[in-house]
Amino acid sequence: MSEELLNQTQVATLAALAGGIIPPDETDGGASSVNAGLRLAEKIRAGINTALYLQGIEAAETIATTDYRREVAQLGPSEVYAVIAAIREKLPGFFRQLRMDVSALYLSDPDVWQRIGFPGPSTASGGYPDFDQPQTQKVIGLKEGSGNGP
Amino acid sequence: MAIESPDALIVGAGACGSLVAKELAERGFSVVVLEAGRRFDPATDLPNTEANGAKILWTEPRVYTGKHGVVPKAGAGVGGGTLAWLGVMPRFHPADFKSFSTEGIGEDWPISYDDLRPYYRKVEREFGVAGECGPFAPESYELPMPPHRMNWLAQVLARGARKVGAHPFAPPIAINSVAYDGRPACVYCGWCGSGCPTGAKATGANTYLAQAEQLGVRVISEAFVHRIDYDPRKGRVTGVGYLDAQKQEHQLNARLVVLAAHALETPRLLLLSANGAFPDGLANSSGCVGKYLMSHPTWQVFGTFAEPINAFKGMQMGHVMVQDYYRPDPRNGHARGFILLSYMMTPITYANLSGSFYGAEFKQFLRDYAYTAAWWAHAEGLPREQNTATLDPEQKDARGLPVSRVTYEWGENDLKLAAAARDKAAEMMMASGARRVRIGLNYGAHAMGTCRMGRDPKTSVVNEFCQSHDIPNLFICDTSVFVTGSGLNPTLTAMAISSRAAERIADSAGRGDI
Repeated sequence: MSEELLNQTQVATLAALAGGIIPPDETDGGASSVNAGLRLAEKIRAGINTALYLQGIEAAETIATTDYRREVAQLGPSEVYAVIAAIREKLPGFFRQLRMDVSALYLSDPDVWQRIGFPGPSTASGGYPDFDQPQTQKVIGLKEGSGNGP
Repeated sequence: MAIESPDALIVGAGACGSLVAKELAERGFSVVVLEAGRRFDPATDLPNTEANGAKILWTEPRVYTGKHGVVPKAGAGVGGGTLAWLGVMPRFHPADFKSFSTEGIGEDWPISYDDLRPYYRKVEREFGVAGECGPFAPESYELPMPPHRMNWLAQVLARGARKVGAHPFAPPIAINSVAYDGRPACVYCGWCGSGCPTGAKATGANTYLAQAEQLGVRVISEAFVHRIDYDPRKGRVTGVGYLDAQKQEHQLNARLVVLAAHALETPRLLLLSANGAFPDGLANSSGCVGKYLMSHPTWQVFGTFAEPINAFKGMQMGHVMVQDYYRPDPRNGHARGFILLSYMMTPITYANLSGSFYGAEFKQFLRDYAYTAAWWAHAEGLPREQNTATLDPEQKDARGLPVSRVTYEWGENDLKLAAAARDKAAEMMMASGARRVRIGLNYGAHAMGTCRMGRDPKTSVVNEFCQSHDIPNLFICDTSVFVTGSGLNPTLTAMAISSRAAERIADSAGRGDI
């Protein structure tokens, strides 16, 4: 698929929707920290769930234009949140796919693993001999050999 | 062109297909197993990553429809669903086989717990199961490996369960608690669902199929069987047609065919194999092929605690089970029963099973990963004729074949029972000390029942030995043959049924009856 499949506005819409699923805050940039918009666009151009995404992007743009007279990428966080709520109601299949895909991108980042306390791959380093002991500390850092990401 | 003619062709290299292959080979049969997916070396092909799902789960297109759009997971590859499964292996209870007689709902099976008892015991030993039978087991029985110690997650959950009067225990699970049968003990790495790289988790591939291949069984992977050949003059199946990875057509002939492709692909194959003698699908004179699809209505219930749980340390499911609410009780507002199992997920699965919220609340939930525990509340879904796995009239797969169309709507009792399971899990989570309980995704776990067994050929597809009523040398050995689904994990029972069927196949063939 060529880049003509998605124009810049559509890619910006994707990025805004992804940012609405996992927003930026004081800890990190959320979906934008893993370039979710661009990476989703790559998948769509590769033919993965293309029809579903094009339908969802069009619906989001229609809602934004109708309700706010602006493009999705120009909306504030609360407005994006409302657009996604409408999408969840009208196109639940697209919403589920978007949520899954954004989550997968975000939660495949070893930096995010460190922030949430997930040490990543662990079999090669012997698993967790302390699995049955009281857990008093969130694990900071990745297990040895981790960090390449899935 | 036929390339060889084994005694038995088995379609599907999962738990049941692998078991049947080994048992028939032991009895002197020449056997070929055809598997649609790839063959993996788990140590090198399945490193710790959730991306493995794209390799070992069935990802080909299907159409999901009906009010509740149930999407049961299924495996792909040599080992089938056991590549990605979590290994919980409880026995069904006697009442599970006669829910109509005892409660007036569902259907009675043509077999009983007593019929399966020796096969349960055999499979538990051959496959390798650790654990306790628990205080509510159908009978007291011993497993070949000691129970796993509870991980911290399970200890926290068990504390709450005991506070509300339940009796948590370490259930039967096909993951080695000690070295067993040449495979190592579990290291509690927490990646069971992504494929076990150590071999501590039993799969069809590293148990029965490995032994079968030593006995001479040939396994052909990336072989998609799309047709079962039938000779109307003899009234028998004669072999199968399959496409290899390059979409080249092959044909194999055999004395008998065993379908073990799981409850969605098995009926699809029968429906794809319609012919002049069976215009509505092979072996479908009853019209039941693809009907009575069942799943387990399941809720994910999360609890977030003030202190870390680090639930990723340990087996992903089944360090603890509660079975106190499984036996039917007329005082309940529902029929049948439910179980609860500890379940903790790697991060992406954790996110996906959390529900449909998003934004700052979702991000906080992700941030709470290390502090969060989960119960898997698992109930029985009763059989309904209108829940089906048929051929989609429009969508085709990459081979040009109609894909499976899965239509599902939970019944009233299914919803009530699942809600009771969910509420009990939430109550226990609070009793464990969670500062916040979140009800996650409601979904359907497992697929069963699309080629059900029975005594009456007008209302069932196979007999109690998994033999087609219509075609004597065609057998179905997977969860398709379930009459009801029980509220328990189905794999052990499917394997016990398959073991019983394999024994019968061998005996019948020895007498020249097949």
